[in-house]
Amino acid sequence: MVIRFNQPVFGREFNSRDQVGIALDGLRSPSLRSTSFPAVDVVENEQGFELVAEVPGLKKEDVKIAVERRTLTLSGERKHYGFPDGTKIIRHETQTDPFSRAFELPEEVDGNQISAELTNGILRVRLPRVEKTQRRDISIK
Amino acid sequence: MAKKNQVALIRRGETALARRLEPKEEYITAVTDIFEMPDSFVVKLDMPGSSKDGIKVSVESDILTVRGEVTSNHRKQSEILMSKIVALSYFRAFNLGKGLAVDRIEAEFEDGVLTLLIPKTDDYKIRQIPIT
Repeated sequence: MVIRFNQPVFGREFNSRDQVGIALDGLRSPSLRSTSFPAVDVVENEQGFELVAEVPGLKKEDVKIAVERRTLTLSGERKHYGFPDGTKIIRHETQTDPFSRAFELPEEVDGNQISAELTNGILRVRLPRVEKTQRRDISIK
Repeated sequence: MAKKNQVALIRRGETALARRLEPKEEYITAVTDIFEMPDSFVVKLDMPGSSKDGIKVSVESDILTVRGEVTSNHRKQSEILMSKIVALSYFRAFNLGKGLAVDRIEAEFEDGVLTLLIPKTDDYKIRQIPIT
């Protein structure tokens, strides 16, 4: 984790016209998210795999998850905040560009059992493993 | 009568205060958008994985601070294969200029985004009217 100590710290982008200014930009804080959006974790547990993505400000309908063969694609777009005309933007850090990220699924994932849920800006895509190969006894006729 | 131009200087005392308010432990600087509307300022902070109960907003000596704990626990009992989510807690501090109704700030948390509505006082609004 990169911690930057060389950023200007106090009072950045603040003047008498902008009544709300950033007071402090982290001494102990990693820099603002700059890498690919959204940030994604992949974890493995007993049930299978889980893909966890940070998608603040996105609603269910803004995110698309598609599986084609062994590739899962996570795409979407964060909508601009709708404000009346005359609204002045003082600071704009959020990314509103469309995004698309692809992940190769492990062989043991059952592509038909994938489910996803979105809570508080965290998207969790569950990728359950295929049931353990069941033993089949074949009777001799 | 309010002074025509109340320049909100960042005084030495304020920076010391801001530093004191900063959490001791590592945190994530919440990604922020700030908008000015005719009657208010709107501050929007990305705090994915946090929740209404895990967020604390407070004002002390014209410095507004926002803290949020991350409650998402997807890493528990799991093996991490790929890790890009670094947040344990969020923090951000703002200087509030004069003429803002600090006692009437409204906060709302939705889709991992905290929205703060900071109304301007009548005094502030009067000063903004251009004289033709």
